Amino acid sequence: MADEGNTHSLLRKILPNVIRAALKGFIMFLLTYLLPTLLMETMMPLDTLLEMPSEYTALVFAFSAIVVFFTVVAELFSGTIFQHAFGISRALVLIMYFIYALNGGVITSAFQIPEQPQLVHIFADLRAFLAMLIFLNLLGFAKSMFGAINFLAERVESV
Amino acid sequence: MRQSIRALGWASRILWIATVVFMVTALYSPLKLLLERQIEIGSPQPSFSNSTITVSIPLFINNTGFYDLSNLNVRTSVADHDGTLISASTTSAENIPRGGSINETHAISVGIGDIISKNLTHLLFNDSTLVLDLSVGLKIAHVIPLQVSTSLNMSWGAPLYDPAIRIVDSPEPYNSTHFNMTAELSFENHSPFDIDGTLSLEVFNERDEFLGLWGGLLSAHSGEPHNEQVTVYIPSDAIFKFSGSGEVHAHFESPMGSLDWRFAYG
Repeated sequence: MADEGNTHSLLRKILPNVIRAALKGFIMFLLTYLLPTLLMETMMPLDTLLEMPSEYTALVFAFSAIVVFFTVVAELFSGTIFQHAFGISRALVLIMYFIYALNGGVITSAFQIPEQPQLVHIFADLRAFLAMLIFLNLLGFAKSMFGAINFLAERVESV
Repeated sequence: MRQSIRALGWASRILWIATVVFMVTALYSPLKLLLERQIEIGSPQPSFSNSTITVSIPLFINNTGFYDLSNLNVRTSVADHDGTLISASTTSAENIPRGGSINETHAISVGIGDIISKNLTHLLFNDSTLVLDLSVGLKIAHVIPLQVSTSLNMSWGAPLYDPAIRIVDSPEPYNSTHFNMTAELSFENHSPFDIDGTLSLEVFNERDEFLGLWGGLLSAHSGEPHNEQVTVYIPSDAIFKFSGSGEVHAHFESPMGSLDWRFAYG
């Protein structure tokens, strides 16, 4: 009887977190995967999109997976120190991801013009973008760090 | 503490949205120009002046993108198949503001003097393949440098392909002081332009002793073989030096430039 009561109260505690995590995870999936894919389909002709190298599609998917995963776990563990720990991890993982995905800020690519023998090389210097993205993640890192310190301070005060 | 964390959270969210919007629009901006065909490259126009062949390529960019395009640089270099640089040229535009447009002409100039000084005279007599390196660089929104480059192989047709002189008639007395000899000068003009100028031929024997000369106008149409009968006058006192073979020194003078070359006969 007591066990049943405990299970009920645990479910009552966890269920809102699970629902919130699922909802936020889905919104993040929409924002980071479905929306960019739809935008690309409408902005670019389909044949151009089909020729997009599969590595870029995989990178978009990986970004979405990272964001969704950390959003879901941070929400599941909200109200605990793990929420902030996952926030810190998310910032660090995203910094590493952006450095890898943007190839350190310098992107070079080569493609062949349809029905033409010559290769066209593209070079883009995205270091400014990379700096902006790293700065944003450091901001997230600082926020989670402060959150963790605040959480521990409040715990000490309550004890 | 809570207030600072909340402020950091909002600042982070706002900056994320601004950065993502900027990134998407900045990268889509040049793509938009390409998709809407707002970048036009006209057909090359060849022209000749002061010993220089100039190929002008009209370039039109209408910036319908979201940001300014700056530091536009169009660079071309033409080299022969061995990599010897024949010509390099750059066209630049400081800034194409959003909604603005530019109409530039990129000129690729090849001086006949350059061809001669760079020991590329083989291009005048032999068909070849030239390598054109094209690179376009610009900055999007004054922040993102972007460069597109490609390499094209162009076939080059020699204007004086396979020059030869063949003696048609042996020297015969012309008057009391000279003999005349009929020869046929032939070559093929494989170049895309007509050749007009004056040509003088000096005929030497095998021992490099001067025999006689010919001079006249030369007009060879593009893509056509050229055959011309020339009469060389040899002074009577030099006729005993004629052996039926030797070398011809040719001097060609035209608005494109002057050229000297030698070829054997007999």
